Amino acid sequence: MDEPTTNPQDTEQDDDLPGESSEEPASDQPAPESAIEAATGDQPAPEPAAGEPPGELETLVAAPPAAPESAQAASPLAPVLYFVKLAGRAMLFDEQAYAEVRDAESPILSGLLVLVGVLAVVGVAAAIGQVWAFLLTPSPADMWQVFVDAMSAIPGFEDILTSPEFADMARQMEMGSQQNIWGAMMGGLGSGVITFVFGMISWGVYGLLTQLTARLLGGQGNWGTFMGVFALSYAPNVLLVSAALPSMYQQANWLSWWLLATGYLAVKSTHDLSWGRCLLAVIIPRILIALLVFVLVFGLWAVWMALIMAFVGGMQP
Amino acid sequence: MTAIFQQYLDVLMLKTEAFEALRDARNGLVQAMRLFVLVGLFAGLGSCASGLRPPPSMESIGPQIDQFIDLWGQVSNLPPRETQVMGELFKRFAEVFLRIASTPPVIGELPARLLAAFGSWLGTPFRWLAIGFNYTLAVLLAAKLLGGTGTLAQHFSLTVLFATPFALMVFSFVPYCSPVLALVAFLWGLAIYIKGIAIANQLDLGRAIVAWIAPTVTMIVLWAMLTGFAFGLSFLVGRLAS
Repeated sequence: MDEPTTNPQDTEQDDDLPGESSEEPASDQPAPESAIEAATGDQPAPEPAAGEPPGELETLVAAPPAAPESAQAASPLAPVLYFVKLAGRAMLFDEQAYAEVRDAESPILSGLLVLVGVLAVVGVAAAIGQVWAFLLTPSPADMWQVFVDAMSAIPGFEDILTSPEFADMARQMEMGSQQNIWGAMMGGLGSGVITFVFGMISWGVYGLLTQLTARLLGGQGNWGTFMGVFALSYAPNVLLVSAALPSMYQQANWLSWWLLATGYLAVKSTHDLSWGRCLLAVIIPRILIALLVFVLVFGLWAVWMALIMAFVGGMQP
Repeated sequence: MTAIFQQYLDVLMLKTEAFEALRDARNGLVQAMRLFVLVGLFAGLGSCASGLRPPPSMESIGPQIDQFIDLWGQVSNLPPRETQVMGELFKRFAEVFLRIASTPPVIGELPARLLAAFGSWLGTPFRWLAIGFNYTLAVLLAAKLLGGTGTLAQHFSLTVLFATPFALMVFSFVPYCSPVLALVAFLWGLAIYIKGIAIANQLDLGRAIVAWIAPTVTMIVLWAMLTGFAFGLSFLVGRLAS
């Protein structure tokens, strides 16, 4: 078990970035240039000088001795484990994780790998949750029969039970009760795909708006790098795996605050702005989208009411 | 395991060294979240035990419904006959809902109850996170405005410790104990929370308390301003219309 360690972090009394850590890497080795190198520990072979044949040292490094079987078997999983740990570190506000993606050979590829992995896991969980919801819910036919039996015992409801509207309701309940587990699985698959697609759209829209806002506030990060680092900030969405079990699932509204915090770290890592400007860069797009949704919904409602009033007014003699 | 338990006790006893160790550790937030999840799962056993009970029957809640109907009759000032008729109707509908709730699911009643209890237990740390996460972010903003120097990780690693006294909620299944336990845990957790704010952001206790209460005060002031604005606007529109 880990003992609580006491390794003082360097804190800077900086007006722009108060209290931000500036840890030195634990080892003296340079930061790996790519995620794969970080995962496998392989360093690129030193290149011989131009015109010179490779020396003995270069030959040895270029062709390392055969690793033991256990290490060989583990190596295909090492990149996957690296990205899983990277997502975990990003979720827990480890600024070094964002810096690693920023400095990677292809930041957008590294970030997208994490994002796609997270959304795929969440999509599968949502699909499983749909099947469990079907299994944990009583059959609509059984519930309907209980309802009819109970209502029949209440005086005054006999007329309602024999009415045509009630018969329509009974037919709809009959159709609804014909759903079986295969239908639930198909519904779950659809739910999973929708979750994945909406996650990607959300990353694209918020990412572009946040990058634009950060640039307007004086940030210097480029698009590709930022979108990759911003993709990493979606790691907290992995908590939506709670949808796999309906009784465990929580409404994810509060998760948007976690995404706000990780988005802040993504902006800070890429654009090197003051903490206030980083905060503005992540908040302004959210406010804009909330306003847009409000205007759309309110506008649609106003148009709908106007149409109804015009229709009702037109019908009056 | 001993180290985790010792760390847990030190936090409960509000030992400054324990807080500083978590703040300064490279994996401080990991340690704090581990403690948080363990406490959440332990406390969740209490609600899990409650969830394993079968759903209430009409016989068990009948007296409570009668009390509610009597109270409602006194408050609504309806004649006794109408109150009795409404009460009978209410009881019938309550019986309908209880019977529907008792309908066994597709996989059977006992497996469904076990699975629901298991899911509820596993989701306890999620529920706790959902309650206070956004408020903690607002407190961090207030702390920074007051001159605090904590990072996101440092701030969260010490404020999630608010949950440590809530291990008491493992006894929430005991009748009438839940409110008392919740109050004790809340007050104890509040002390831990404020100490966590102070140490994470290197603020004195006074500023830590201000940082804790600032978001609430801000929300109250904003709400009062918006309400006043709305009233004023509707008054103005009414005057102009007349």
